[in-house]
Amino acid sequence: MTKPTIKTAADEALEGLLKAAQENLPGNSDFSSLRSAAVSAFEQNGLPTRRVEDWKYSDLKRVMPSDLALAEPVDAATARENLSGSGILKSVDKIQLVLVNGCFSAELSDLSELEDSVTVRSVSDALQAGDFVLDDPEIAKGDIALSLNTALLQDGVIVEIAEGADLAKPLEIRHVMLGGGLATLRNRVVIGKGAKVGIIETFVGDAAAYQLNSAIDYRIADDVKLNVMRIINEGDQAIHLGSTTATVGGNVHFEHFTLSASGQFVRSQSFVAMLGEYSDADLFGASLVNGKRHSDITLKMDHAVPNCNSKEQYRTVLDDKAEGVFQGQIIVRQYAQKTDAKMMSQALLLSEDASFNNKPELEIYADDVVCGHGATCGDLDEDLLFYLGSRGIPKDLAKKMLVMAFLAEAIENVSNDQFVEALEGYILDRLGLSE
Amino acid sequence: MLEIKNLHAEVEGNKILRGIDLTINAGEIHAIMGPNGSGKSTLSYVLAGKDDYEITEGEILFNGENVLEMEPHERAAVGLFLAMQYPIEIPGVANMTFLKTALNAQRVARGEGELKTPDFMKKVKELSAKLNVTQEMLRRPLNVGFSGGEKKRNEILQMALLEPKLCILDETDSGLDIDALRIVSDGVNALKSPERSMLVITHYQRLLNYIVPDVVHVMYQGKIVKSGDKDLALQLEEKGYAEFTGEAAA
Ligand SMILES: Nc1ncnc2c1ncn2[C@@H]1O[C@H](COP(=O)(O)OP(=O)(O)OP(=O)(O)O)[C@@H](O)[C@H]1O
Ligand SMILES: [Mg+2]
Repeated sequence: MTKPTIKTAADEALEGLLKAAQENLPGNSDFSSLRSAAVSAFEQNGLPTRRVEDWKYSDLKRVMPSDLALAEPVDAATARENLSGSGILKSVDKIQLVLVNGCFSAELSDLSELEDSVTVRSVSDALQAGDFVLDDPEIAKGDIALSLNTALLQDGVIVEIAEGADLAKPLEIRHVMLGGGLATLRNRVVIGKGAKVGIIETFVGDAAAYQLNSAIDYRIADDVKLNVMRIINEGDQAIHLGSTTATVGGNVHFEHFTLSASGQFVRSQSFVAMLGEYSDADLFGASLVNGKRHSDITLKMDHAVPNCNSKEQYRTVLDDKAEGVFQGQIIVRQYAQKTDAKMMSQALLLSEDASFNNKPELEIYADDVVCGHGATCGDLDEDLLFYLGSRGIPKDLAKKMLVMAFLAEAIENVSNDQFVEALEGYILDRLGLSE
Repeated sequence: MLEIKNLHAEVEGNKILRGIDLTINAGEIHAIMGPNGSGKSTLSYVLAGKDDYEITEGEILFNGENVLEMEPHERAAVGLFLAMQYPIEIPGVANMTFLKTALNAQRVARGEGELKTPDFMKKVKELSAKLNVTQEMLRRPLNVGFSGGEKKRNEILQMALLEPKLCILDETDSGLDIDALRIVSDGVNALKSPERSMLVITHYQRLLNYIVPDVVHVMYQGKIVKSGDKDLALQLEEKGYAEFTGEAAA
């Protein structure tokens, strides 16, 4: 950037923290130089202004606090007390890998239950050993949340799943934040050829003001079937910057569902690169945003090879003074003929004070493709409310039914019935509709 | 049961109902016929409480209560039911869930308590079998992708389940094949009782062979211009509405 940016208190605070933290962070000299580069970039640019296209609708300068501190480590016993069984997918049988305040906890994780085809180790170990290499796909390069992630990376979990594995139970990577502060982590899931895998990413935290910068890399080999459920259920004062990068091999079926349920400020961004032919990526999501919350779903889908399908369908319900953002970009490169890419973002506004910025984009350089996008934003249909009312259903209940119906249409895309049931159960509960 | 007095209604300044007077006593069946655009559906919507209309004059009493002050769901709970000319599709709401929610909401509003699921299921099964509404249609989202005839049968299923006091049928016969017309009419006739009244809006005398009215009204330009017994429908079938449209134009 040519013009020096004016630094806000939040910029200064983060810059101070970035510098102070460097000496205690793990990693060999290669990684340290990546960190230093990220720190210098931040010194130069600060947090993105609203002129930075990708962050236009999600103003980090405004939300990041000026009294930043790193989250304190929490011992396993304290964490366990706070890990009480509740959770959106509590009915689903799974194997948990737990991170507390950004640090992987072997003690809290179900390591003994892991199948032989799964190996797990911590990112901090890998950094110490000098073999944690960043290899972000092209479309993710230069992203500020990922750059900050590199600068402050503490830990994370690396999961490797052997070729041909067929996991009986999904693996849950559970991120817990306790006591406030900033935590930075990066997970990596490496999936061998032909494996069938279910991953649940859960984000929970207490009521303290905390900031989580979390990233996860999916490295998906050929012939894989991968099902991801990302459940953002952060505390009321949480700032959640969550990034997903995925490189997708050939003949893969990749399904990815995001539920944005809570957190003061949520940015959930995904960078997906289709690198092998004949693969499908289905990215879906449902967001429930109320109060003064802000929820941003940002997607970049890169079709680099021919013959792949991608489908994105997101639904957002906004109430009170909530703000929602959907930014979706599909890039179809010149060589990616026969791409079928469809993107749809629909929002339902329940209050006049709620707002939604809907920005789907197609960038197509190939000529033999089927691509489309759509975006809608509206309030509840009065004719539907009247129809339900005329059958005796009071307006308040009718509204809830229609909200449920709206979200159910996004959730129905999830192929695992157990997940569908759990998600619908959660939303019914939240709307006060459960029996 | 129903008393409509000098009812005037308009939409965005367009006068649509221009002084309707209509009294329906308990147990009576009334039919309304009339040319397209004369205000029949508007009257039915105003009765059910759709809020697109501004009532500029007149009143509607239902068993002595002022209907115009009630919300649509309150009108339903006191026993008003409108089988719509164009039933609405609601994606994402399963027909069965909808039926159960509607019935229980009405029961709760009347202080009757919710119906237990097995009792509800039994009732729905029984009624849907009679009306040729399949299990598949009950599982599907409400009216979504239903054929015209299926939608109409589904309206009558709702009516049979909710057991209203006043059934308003807006062109329930339009779009029905001959067999469906019989099924629907049987469904409606099964609901006939000395305590239940019906207001049947139709273009076709044929329906009135099945559902025999006590009174037939002709509506034109937002007014009831003639009332008579069931023979009036036969006369209209023969001569059309020229008599009224001619008069009005003069
Ligand atoms: N929401 C509206 N806005 C504007 N005009 C309306 C509206 N609703 C009804 N009208 C007009 O009011 C008139 C009466 O319509 P209505 O649907 O009540 O007629 P109808 O007698 O039911 O006709 P049909 O026999 O064709 O069903 C029509 O001219 C119609 O265009
Ligand atoms: Mg009509």
